[in-house]
Amino acid sequence: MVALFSTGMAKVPDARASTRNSDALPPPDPDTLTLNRCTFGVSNELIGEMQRRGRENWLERQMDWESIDDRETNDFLHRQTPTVFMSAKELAALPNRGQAANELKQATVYRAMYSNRQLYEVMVEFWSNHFSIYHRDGPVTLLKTLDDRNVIRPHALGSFRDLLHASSKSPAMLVYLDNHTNVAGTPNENYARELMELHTLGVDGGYTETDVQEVARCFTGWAVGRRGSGNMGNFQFYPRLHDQGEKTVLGTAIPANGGIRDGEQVIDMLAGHPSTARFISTKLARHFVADEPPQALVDRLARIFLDTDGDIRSLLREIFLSDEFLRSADQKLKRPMEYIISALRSTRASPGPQAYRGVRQYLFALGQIPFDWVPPDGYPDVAGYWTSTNGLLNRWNFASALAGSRLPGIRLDYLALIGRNWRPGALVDHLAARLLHRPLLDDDRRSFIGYLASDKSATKRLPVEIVEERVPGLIGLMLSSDYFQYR
Amino acid sequence: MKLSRRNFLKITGLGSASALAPRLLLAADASDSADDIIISVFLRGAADGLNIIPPHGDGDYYRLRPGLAIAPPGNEQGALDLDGFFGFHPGMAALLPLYQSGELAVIHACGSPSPSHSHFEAQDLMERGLTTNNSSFSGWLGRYLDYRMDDSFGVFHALGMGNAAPRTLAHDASTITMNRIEDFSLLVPEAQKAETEALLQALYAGDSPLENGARDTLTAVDTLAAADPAQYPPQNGATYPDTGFGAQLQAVGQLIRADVGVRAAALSLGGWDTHQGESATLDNLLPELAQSLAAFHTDMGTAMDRITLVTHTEFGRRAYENGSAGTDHGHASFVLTLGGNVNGGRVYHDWPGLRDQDLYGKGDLEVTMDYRNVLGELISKRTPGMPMELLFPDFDQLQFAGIYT
Repeated sequence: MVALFSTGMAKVPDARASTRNSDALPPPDPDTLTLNRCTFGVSNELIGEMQRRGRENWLERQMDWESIDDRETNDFLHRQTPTVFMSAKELAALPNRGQAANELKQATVYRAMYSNRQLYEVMVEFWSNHFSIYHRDGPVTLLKTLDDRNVIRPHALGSFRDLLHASSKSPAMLVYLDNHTNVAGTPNENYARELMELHTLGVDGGYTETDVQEVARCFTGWAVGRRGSGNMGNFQFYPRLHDQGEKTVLGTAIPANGGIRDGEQVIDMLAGHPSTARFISTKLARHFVADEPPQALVDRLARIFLDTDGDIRSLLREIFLSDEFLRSADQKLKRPMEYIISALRSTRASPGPQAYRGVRQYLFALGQIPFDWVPPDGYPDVAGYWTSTNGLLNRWNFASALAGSRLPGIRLDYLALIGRNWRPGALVDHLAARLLHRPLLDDDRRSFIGYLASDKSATKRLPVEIVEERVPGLIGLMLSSDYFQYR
Repeated sequence: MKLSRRNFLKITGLGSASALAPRLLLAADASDSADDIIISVFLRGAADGLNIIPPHGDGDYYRLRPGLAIAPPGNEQGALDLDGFFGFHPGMAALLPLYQSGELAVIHACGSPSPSHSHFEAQDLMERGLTTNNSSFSGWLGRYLDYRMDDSFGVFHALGMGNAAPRTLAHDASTITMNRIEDFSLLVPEAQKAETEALLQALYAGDSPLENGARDTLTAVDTLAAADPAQYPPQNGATYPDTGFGAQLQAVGQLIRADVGVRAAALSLGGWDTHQGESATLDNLLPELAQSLAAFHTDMGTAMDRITLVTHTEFGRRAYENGSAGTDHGHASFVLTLGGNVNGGRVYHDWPGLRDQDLYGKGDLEVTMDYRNVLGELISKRTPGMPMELLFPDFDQLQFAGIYT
């Protein structure tokens, strides 16, 4: 565990105090660990599928995302969130701009919940967060729909170089980081700085303040087609607003009169830079392995990044097949989106058409609505940020509301979930296997059984009124426990 | 050995789930309610000191910002004069009476000597009170809390408003974070509440950060329920602006009034990254900031004698404007500080000037006052005896300007 915000106060000997550490939770097996990290929530069906195919074959199939049939999810989205399929022109004609933003958030949640392309959706979330764009910034409300469809999704499991080129010409990104107002003579440095600091080299990646200014000059005239231009809402280069002078970026001369090539050349330099290789490798390893990723793994990834020209699948393969990955159980705390979606998936809750309302309420309370992070660095990917009192309390409140079917539009069939296991011991074991996918410590197993049967008799069949009164609470407690907080 | 509240309760045989615990906490906290409270307000995104506290007496200001400068006092939408040289942006009007009555001081050309122009690196360094990265995880205000920590400290000693615990407060114990007081309760069916709490205590009995945080969360929920802060609405006619930040500062005031033992609080107000369309952004944000601080001052009344509020921002903005009616990342900015112990009614400064040869780096206002001089003076005046090298481990040039009594 990373102790960024560690809370260890001075210790006083206390005979009753347990010394249990979360590191000591019985670890999940490798299949479950892999599913925890590569999906938005484990289910028994997925565990069965992985056992059938084998872990490596399952991963290869998930990386070959286009070969996985996802028509059902897509059909659902066409009905539920039609604006995510609209063109720039259709979006601009919407009477209510908020509809596009709201439906994109909904589609993001539904895809995480239902898509068969789970690893793909995990990577879409990763890159959306890496190239983070705040949704409520003027025209971005509409343009982020295009960024999601044309920038992030085509390249999420492709090549980093292609992804970076696409992002640099994304109208949503250009507007969000003010590059649409970056013009010759009086440049605006916002995009140039964040491109190097956050998208590629990293803050210690070796660029100077002069590089920031020179890169800003390279991107002058990179903007978005204006209303009535015939290219509204799409990328547009304005040659007359571009600084045609000579520039020097990271020690490389960029000759005069390069036009749009200036910016494209900068993207190419950055995409293949060793600092970018290290920065992206660190972020991927942080996401999939540990908050403080093992240096040896990062070093291997950085080499692969340079050897494969940023091939994202090659990087993921190295991560998932590494010893570091298999040894990293409980090193990653679920962030709110992962926590909420995994709870819905594990409990097989049946969300109705209004389900997003209930999910949104808790994503908001926990602070992770999709595309709602204001600054350009994206939601933090470390436990220290998310283990606040506010965070824990709202996780518990969500779990209790979900288990008690008190979330608008979401019903949980707890009787189906427990099946015929109405004896306390068997019921707890069955639910732990279904929801937590890992063994319980004896103390905790006894606590759960005690919650069901106050006389501690674990083998007597429970009467129906106790099942009705206690099982939703038990489910809520299991989802509230530390067993369910890691992915 | 210093004892934490939690361990203190364990020794006296009271688990925090006990119904007695909250009342005990309150009784203990009430006895030292005269203690100091420090409130940090972080203006995230690099707030523009040159347009918020415009140097209307410096002609170069108008040369560098022909389209953006705040007009001299007396003009329409002109600066509100402070001392003949500096003024307030008109959006700061709500704070002018506090400046004039001597309870608000301004420190200008102030900031971190770190050359970083990265929001994220500079915020992180400033919250930790450092100029160079090191492995220390604690915040400057957190180290202050660690130094003061004793038996009288309850679970609410560190209060962060928002979703996550602010780095500024990171210390050896938990920070209580919340968005709204009224949402800070365990929402389980009433009949099962006690049992649920007890089971959560058992499940989170270990010593990992997650488990410690979980138990402190349960204690805080109990403490808050017993204190019932809803019975402490704003006093003295204070009206907070109806905004997220206004509501958060109002909640801090409510919790101070409810006497739950707040010793330090941290809040943030974002949106200051004015690369483009700066005038509209400041016209919008400054009244929210100024009216919130003024309302808090009114609300707290005489309690301001033991409360000090201080603002920060990671750096300032480029002295000259860009082509987007905005400003890019710069260096020095400003600090506001408010409280009964402030020698206010002054703009503290060693003005570096805005001639081309005076500017830092690519054209920034130079830092002539390290922000840690302000914080260091505050702590050493209010908590004599705290070693400054503990507060600011990589800064040994502390100089006090007489900002605090």
